[in-house]
This record gives sequence, structure tokens and C-alpha cells, in this order.
Amino acid sequence: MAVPGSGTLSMKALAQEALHGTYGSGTITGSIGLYALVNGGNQNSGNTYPAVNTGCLPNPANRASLQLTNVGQGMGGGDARTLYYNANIGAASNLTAGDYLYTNSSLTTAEGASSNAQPGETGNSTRACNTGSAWYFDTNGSGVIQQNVLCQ
Amino acid sequence: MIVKNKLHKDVLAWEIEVDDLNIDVENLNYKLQDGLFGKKVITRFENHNKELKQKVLEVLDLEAIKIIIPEHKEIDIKIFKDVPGFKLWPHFDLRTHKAFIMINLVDNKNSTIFCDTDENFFCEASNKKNKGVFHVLHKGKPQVMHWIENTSDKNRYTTIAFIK
Repeated sequence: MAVPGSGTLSMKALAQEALHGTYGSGTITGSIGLYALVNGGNQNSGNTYPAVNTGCLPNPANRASLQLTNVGQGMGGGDARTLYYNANIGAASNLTAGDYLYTNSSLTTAEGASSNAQPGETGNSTRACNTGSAWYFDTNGSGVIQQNVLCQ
Repeated sequence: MIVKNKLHKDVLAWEIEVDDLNIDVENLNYKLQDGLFGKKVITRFENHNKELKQKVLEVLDLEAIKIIIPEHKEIDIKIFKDVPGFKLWPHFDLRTHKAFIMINLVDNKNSTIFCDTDENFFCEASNKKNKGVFHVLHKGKPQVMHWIENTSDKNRYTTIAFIK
């Protein structure tokens, strides 16, 4: 079974899928804790739910990461650093406003609010631009990129 | 303000000299920089005296700035005390900044260093009192970054006009 790709979803059916692999059937005991259902465990739940299988695609999201290297801080307030983003995006030149940046390769710690510039380098997929230009971009407090790649 | 020699053929930076601003930098009140340089920079302090900032503005060649940076909308004057250990890593400045003029308020040990994107040295601005540099940002090739640190055991005093 699988969770339907369209239509109204049922929390009980999601719990049945998580617990038995049978969306829409199977015994569920007591309450269903949303945290337990998503993350595994029995918090606020009558059943113990399995940990999410992070190895499968596309659900949950691909947790593999790629590097955005040599990201300088806009006014020099720190050494150039490497940030990380979801590998589904592909080369750094594909990044767009709305994508998330993280400070660790496991994508669990979002970059905070920052103003940045990355010098370009031709043929380097960890750089958004080619040699001779740079990408100036900001992230908000949640690490969300505010500007599309514009090589200047 | 007198605009003098270009510091390096590949860098849009010129030495400048101004009349003595006669600012008693040692006896001013300073507060930690306002966040422009990032929250982690705790070695740069600012004086916010409006009269002193006006005094700095008055020694600048505003006509020359208009000609060189016709699109600029604002000149933001800052007066800095950089304590020993202060450092800004190589950077371009924010895209909203068009140029800056840095003036040494005392004889400092260190001054602004210009480099390429691989951090190869191009040139260094004057560290002498009443001298400094006028740098046009984000233009020309190769791309130019700049950085600064205070390696001395004394405070470094400068004023910078950020042309936006």
C-alpha cells in the first residue's frame, strides 16, 4: 500500500500505513500523536510508530546535501565558509530564492540571517557563477535564500 | 580631499588626503558596531557623534564623488575604533555599497589590503593620519576584495564614508 497522491488524507489511515503498511485498514489503538507519527516513537500515542526511513526517495525528502563553497560574509565579518543545500537541487547555479541553506552537511542546522557573496569559478559546480563574477545573496533567519542567482 | 595616485593598475582604488580633521579620537565615546559587519565582530566600535560625522562629510570632495559614482544616493559616515585583534576577512562589501572612502584618523599600523578572489595581494592603502583610500566597488576586472586587521597593540582609528 501507499499513501494516495491525491484526495483527502486521513490521519488514521496515515497511522495505519506507518504501522502496518496498509493505508485505510489495520488496527490503531487509542490516540495518534502527530510527532510520533512523523518522527517515530509513542509520544501521545496508543501505538509505537517506526522511525522514518530516510533512505527512500522521494518521501521523506532527500536528505543528501551538496556544498556551496567559499561563501564570504558581505562585510568581512568572518572567514569564507561552506554552506549546504538539498542535493535534489543539483549544481549551485540552480539555487533560487526560497531554497534553504544549512551550516552542516546533514541539513539540520539552518544558516541564520546573513548577507553573503560567493566569487564565481568556471567549471566548479559548488559555485553559482563563472570566474569573473560573483553572486550576492542574503538569507533570512530561517536560512532561506532571498535572491535568485545573478552573476555580477 | 585630494585624490592622488591609483594604488594598483588592476584596482579601482586611489590614495586620498584630507585636511586634518582634528578629532580627539582617544576621548570619544564608542559603542560596539551596529551589526553591519556581522554579529560576531566584537572588536570594532563606533562613535555616533553627528557633528563629527558632518565634519568628515565636509572634507570629502562631493563633486568628485558625484562624477565617479553618479548613481549614489547616500553617503553614510562612520567613525571607528578597532581594538587590537580586530579583523575583517576578504570581502566585496554589500552590493548596495557603491564605493567607500577610508581615512586614517591617526597613524595606524595596518590599513586596507586589496586582493583577488584567491586572496593574492594587490596593494595596501596608506596607514598615515589624514590619508586613506577611495575605492570603487564591484566594478572592473579582475574582481577585487579587501580586508583589514589590527595587528598592533594599539587601537586603530579610522573614519569611513560608505557611498551607497
